[in-house]
Amino acid sequence: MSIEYKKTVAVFTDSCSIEDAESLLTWLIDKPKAKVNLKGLEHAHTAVIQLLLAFKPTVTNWPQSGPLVQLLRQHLN
Amino acid sequence: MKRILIVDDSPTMLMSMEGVLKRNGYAVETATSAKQAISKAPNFKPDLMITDLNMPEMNGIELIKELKRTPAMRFKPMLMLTTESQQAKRDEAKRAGATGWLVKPVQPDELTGVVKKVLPA
Amino acid sequence: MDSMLNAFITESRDSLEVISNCFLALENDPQNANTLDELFRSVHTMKGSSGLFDIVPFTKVVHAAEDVLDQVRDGEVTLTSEHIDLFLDSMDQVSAWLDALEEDAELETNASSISDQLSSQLRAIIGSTGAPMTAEEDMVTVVELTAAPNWLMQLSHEARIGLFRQLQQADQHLLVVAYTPDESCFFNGDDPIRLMQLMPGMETLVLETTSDLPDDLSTLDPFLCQLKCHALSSGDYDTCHNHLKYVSDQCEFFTMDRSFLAVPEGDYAPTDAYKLFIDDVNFSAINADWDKLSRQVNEMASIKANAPYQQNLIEWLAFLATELEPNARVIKALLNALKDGQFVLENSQTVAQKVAADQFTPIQAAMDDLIFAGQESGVLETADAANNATQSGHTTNHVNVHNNSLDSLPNAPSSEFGSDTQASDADWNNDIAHDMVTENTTVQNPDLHWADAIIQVQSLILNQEYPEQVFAGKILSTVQTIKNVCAVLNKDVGDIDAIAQNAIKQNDVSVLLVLLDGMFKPVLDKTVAVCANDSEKQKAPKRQTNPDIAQTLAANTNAQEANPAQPEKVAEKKAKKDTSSMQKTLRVDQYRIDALMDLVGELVVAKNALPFLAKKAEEEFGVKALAKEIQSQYSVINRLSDEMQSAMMQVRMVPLSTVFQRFPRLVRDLSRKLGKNINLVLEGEETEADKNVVEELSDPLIHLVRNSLDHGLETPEERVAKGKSEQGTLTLRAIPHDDQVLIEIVDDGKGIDPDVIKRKAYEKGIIDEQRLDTITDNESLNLIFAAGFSTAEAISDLSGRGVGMDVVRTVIQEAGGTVGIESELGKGTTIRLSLPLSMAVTRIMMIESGTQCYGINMQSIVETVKVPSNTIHRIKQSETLILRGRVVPIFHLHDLLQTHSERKESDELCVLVVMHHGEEIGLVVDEFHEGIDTIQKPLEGIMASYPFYSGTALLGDGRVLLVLNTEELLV
Repeated sequence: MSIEYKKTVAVFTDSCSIEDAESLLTWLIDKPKAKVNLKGLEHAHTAVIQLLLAFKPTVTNWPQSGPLVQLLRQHLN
Repeated sequence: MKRILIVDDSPTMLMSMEGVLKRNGYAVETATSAKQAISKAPNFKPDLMITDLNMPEMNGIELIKELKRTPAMRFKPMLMLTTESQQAKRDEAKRAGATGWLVKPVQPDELTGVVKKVLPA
Repeated sequence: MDSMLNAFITESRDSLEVISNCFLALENDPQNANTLDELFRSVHTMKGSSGLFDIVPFTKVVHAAEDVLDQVRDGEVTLTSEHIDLFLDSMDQVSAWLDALEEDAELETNASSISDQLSSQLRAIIGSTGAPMTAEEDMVTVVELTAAPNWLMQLSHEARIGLFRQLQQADQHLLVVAYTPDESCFFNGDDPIRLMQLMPGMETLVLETTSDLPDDLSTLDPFLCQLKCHALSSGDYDTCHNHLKYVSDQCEFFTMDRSFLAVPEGDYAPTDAYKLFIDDVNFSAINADWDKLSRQVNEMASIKANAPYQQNLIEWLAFLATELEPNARVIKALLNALKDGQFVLENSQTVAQKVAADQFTPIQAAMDDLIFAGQESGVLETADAANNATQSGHTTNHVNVHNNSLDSLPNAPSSEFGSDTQASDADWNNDIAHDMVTENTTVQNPDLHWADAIIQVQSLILNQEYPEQVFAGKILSTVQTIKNVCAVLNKDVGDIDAIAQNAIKQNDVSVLLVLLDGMFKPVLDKTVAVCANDSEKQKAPKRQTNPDIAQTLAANTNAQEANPAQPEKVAEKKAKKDTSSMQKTLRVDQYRIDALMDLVGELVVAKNALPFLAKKAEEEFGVKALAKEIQSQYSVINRLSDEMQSAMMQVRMVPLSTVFQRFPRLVRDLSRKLGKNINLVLEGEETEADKNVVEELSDPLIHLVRNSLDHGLETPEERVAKGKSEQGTLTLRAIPHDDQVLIEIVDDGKGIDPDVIKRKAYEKGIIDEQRLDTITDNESLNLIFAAGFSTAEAISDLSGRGVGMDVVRTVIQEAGGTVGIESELGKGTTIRLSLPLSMAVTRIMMIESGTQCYGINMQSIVETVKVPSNTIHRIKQSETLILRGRVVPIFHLHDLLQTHSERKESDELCVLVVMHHGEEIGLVVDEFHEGIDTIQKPLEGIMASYPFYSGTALLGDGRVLLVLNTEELLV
């Protein structure tokens, strides 16, 4: 699974595909104070990034490497 | 390892593309007709499908439309093989849900380049 | 090299050859359906294959050619000679690109602009406006931004400066891409962000939501795409556009000077610390002295004042001043910001509005003023006005009038001739204008500069976007201006009215622009920046306004003017390819054949050693049986090597068409250049000869053909006056003759006057007075082959390049052939070449004279005969022999060689009868020896200066044999 949903944090790892978007949306709606851990995230489909941009959850850890580092820092800060 | 399903009624075309793709580290499944592709897709679970346009019984556009109705394939990239002059068909394919097209005959470099581009990470 | 590319290059070269031949055939038979068909198919094939590679400029030109030819074969258009010229030039360029691909596997950076020019010129034949490269491309064009797009300001100062630093090695202009994916794009398998991140040269990506978020986020549809992507790329348009080809209808492309990244940030605190700096630096800016400005900025940067805004700003200035083309507008805006903390780079849209329709007339009026001022001051000459005033005396008037006209322009940008400036800063405008004008008027030909400037401005004006209702008016007024300027300069405007009408009808000015481009040399170094509108999504067709286009187009026009011989050279180079006319062929690299040939040659020589060995075995070692066996084995090897040699000869045989094929093009180009009407007839081109021979033939033939065209054949007027047919005929004929090939170059021109030749030869000291009297007309013709001879008073560019007739003869002779000439005054000239079919292995007869062994080429030998000494008749100094009823003059070889050796006294004389200029001559030698096959090598070094030796040959026993050149000996 690319997104592991814990009690308050969604932990993202490796690649997230569009198929992950639906469940992510549901989780973000349910948890207004949601936090996301993006440390292990390498790639994410536009649909997923779109949701993060819309909800602007608190980011506990930023991605370490890959093209998303700069992009997400820029837009989610 | 990414999985690619190629559909073409010409065994030569299949063989040639399969060779190129396998050499580049992809898992490949072939189908000689649209019907066969539809039956193989659920088990093979391709990440990408490349299909010829002109095939007897069901053509490439109809195949794309059909597979796009299934939840498993609705977001998967699909490429259609056309000849140079079939501009209208390319537009129709896009409307049916194709990601893009390749013009026959496809050179290995072009094939691998486009595949790399449209396959998800 | 990539084998696919290799195959493409080879295939395309073949296509180009077919194409070339088709065009030449079309000149004589323009409606021939078969030719047109073949032509179209070849071009179509080449276009299709080229699409497999990343060579967009190449494909663009070929595609344009294909489209035109499609209409030609439909009968919609007929090709004129001028059209064919253009096609041939385009194909030459394509050929040059193939060469570049072969060398570097890519095209040069200027290929794009050359391609744009050629393809629009080609398309102008059918009045097409430059259709998209492939049918599915939208009319996506690249607009230049005149300020940084808003989204870029989302990047922090650090990010932007970092970007700038990173890009300093790259092109100053960046590609800006705006990709607005369709909402449902996910269902097409698209992942827009990933696609953008994979784009070549991607530097930075910024996302924007396309619509406001709903209050209730639970209504969001996760599968609809509501993001827009903005990207900056250091890649080029073609590559990026290709990357985005599947979504190109959702993308827009722009270019932007990276100077627009410069936007200062921070708290502004006014301080006097910068006052002096501001004045100094402004002065540098006004004078566009960027080096000075850069130095001043660097000095200032080292001073730490507590002014974050200014520091920030100065950091930017430091970068911008060192750009290749410093953006004056941005720099000026920064400098102004230094004064008051307000960075105002006027919104580009405002400037666009100002250059709206109602502002246009004042611009036009100002242009008219300029022309009028030019005429008034005498800088521009009117057709009937006497130019009394000196130019310098009127310079001041000139400048003042100019400035006045500019002042009358309400906030128009044309003061800097097109580049949009801060319209609110009129002083700045006038300063720049003043500089440019004074610069221009101190130049040598100020009138030309003025005319160029005016026409260039018209071109820039036409490049602007204007509302529909003024489009026609704009075209008509610019055309009127151009006609005015041309009238004053007595310059021809060509078909400008018709083209203008067409432009209005078709709502497109590209053909008009192409016409303009040929009319001026760019003297202004800024092009108009078309303004980006707020809604970047403008579907109305726009033209490409690549800032480099004006420059490169003009540069190319100039380059083409400077190199009129270019197409010729390329055509010649092109024709040097070996082709086979047979159906089933194998492509073999030339060097492999050469290697094989060398080996066979060596084998032939090596086998010659065997008879010696046999002899040695018998005589030295007394092993007769062994000698016999060696002999019999030798005959087997001999037979085999002979067969191999013949086979190799056959392999190396190429038809003469390989050298003849370049002549139709050559003759066509030359005869057009000389204004002569020439019909070229080729005969016997299928005659084959050894490839070396054919290659050696190439240069001399070119020279001889050029000679005929230049000096031999007359102009149509001259011919008619003489009662000849208007069209002259030049015939190139190849005739096989035994083991030789005869080549004839025949023209029906004015012939050679023997008297003129004789006199010239005498004047140049080539013959003496006595010879002048005795020389026959026929013999005198041969004098043109003498060294130091040339009758052309002014050695024309075409044939007088130091490749004289003497060099022609030398080259032919070295190849083992002969040259002869016949001519009849007023009727024409025939030059005959004879060449051996093969150059490789020669059969040589060994003879002895004065204890030395020499070789004589078997080809020259008619017969060998031993005669009793008393049968020689002596008449005065000459000796003759009666041989079967013929009188044969006799010479003694050692006399000819001046070897001073003892004449061998004997009853019998060995006489070698050789052919010399059609006559039989006897050479007395001491002894005959066997004939051998050897590879004759030419003489080098000191020995080469002895003309009576034609070369050396290596004998089986290791000795070196000198081969005599009987022609030279017997002269």
